[in-house]
Amino acid sequence: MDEVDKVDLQHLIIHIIVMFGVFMPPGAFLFMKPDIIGGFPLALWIYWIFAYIYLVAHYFIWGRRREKAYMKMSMKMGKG
Amino acid sequence: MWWVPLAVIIAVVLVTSLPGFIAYRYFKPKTLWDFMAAGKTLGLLAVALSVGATQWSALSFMGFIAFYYIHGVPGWLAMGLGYMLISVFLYGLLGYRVNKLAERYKIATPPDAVELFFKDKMPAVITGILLFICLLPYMQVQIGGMAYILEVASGGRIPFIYGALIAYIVMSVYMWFGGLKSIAWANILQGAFFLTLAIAIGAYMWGLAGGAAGISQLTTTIPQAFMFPGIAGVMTAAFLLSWTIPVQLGWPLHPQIYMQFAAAKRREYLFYLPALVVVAATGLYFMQQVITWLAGRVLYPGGFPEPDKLLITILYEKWHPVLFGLVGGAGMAAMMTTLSTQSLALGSTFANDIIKRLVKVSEEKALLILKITMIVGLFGGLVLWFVMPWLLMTIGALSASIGAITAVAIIPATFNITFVTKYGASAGMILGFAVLVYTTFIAKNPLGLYSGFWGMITAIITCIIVSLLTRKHRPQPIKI
Repeated sequence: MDEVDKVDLQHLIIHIIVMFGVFMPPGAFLFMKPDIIGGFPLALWIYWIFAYIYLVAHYFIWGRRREKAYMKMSMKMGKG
Repeated sequence: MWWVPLAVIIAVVLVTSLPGFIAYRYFKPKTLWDFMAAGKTLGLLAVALSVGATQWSALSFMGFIAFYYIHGVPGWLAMGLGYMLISVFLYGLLGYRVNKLAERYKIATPPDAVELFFKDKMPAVITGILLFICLLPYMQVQIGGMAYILEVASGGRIPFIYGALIAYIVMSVYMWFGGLKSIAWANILQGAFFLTLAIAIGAYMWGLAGGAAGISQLTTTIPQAFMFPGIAGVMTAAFLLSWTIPVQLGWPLHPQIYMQFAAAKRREYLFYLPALVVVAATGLYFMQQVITWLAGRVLYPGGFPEPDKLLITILYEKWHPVLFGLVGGAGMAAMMTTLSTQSLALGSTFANDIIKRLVKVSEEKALLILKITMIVGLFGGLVLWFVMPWLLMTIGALSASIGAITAVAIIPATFNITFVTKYGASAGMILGFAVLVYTTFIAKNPLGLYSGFWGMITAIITCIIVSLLTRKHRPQPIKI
């Protein structure tokens, strides 16, 4: 397992925790109680905007960390 | 003036196909690998837009809108959110590894990786056959979509078959010469054009739906559209999860996507692919479809008989012929990008993954077989659409989940998971496919769970059990 694989594994674990631990429970709750915050569409849009912000940020940070790990790995290989 | 939208559509198709022809000037594929993996020369823009454009297809103009129209918000969660959480994430995980394998071992398709890892043709051929089966119906949907747009745009003057033929001829020419490089270059312009139009359509539909107030109003008129189990009453929470997991897991493993990971010039490009795709896919692509079905529900309170024709019908009635022509052109472009990559994947699966592994053929012959399969497969699909559409519908029901079944071979091969043996992978795929057929056509969706889920679970369990029983035959990890 190289440096990039390690970053991938970390982000996979974070992604699974966020998907099932953070997005699913409130998602299911909003479906059960659709009128909880100012009507269902509003709740849906808020839910969706948070999911979108999370996705863009997570994928972008993941890409940055992978690139750094890759550069570090390439430099090590160059020295070796 | 009936010819105006038609002329605009044809002009858009020709102009957006130009990069496909230009690419051939700069890159003339000589070998089979050059043709399938563009000689590993694709830049960041080409990879990101081409991967995106591969899925901006007939479904985005027709099928997905109908899917949301029928299933409401639960349908959107299954398709849109599921895609961005599962498929796009897999793009990132898979892309880097596939590109590394392509650099070192010159692999191009999923069965290439499977054979390299298991050092056996058997699991590779089974993977190839399954992927071949799942590609056919996807291609037919695109052909049907293109022909439909031309038929509407010409006011019924150009029959379905001629519309499909025009697009077929243009695409066949650049695909034959340039392979993946030409396809990816054409995808850049076609994808960018489609995205621009998608924003315009989304904004227009938002107005038609009456904005947030109009959509809120819908909750009182059709509340079932916003709750489980959706309007059709099918999309329960359990069905949603069992649908979205195999479908979204299977998509990145389809050869038309997998091959593009192999074709990226530098593997660093793939680091930013998930972020780029999710920005483009959500803001510009999925939202257009979501707002369109909501607008459809507002505009036609009594229901719209053929929801897959909702977008085209609204725009044909309300937009200026030139603008409609541009939309039709964008739709055609979206379908062509998908169809061209799928045809290449079909040809590659047949020539490289099945024929080359079963019969001894030279590199040149294999390349010729690939090109012919690509063209004949496309034409065969066109004929099948008219002669036996029922066959396509039948296979179509299976195809979305087949990718998830082949995961038991492709994932271990790509990630060096030596626990899985060639026997485990092969048995998993065969039994998983049998269960998928059984739960699709005979005992439909047992326990309210989607058939693809049953196929996927069977494949995984069988693969684990058989791999444990045959642990003496564990493969050696591949050095990358």
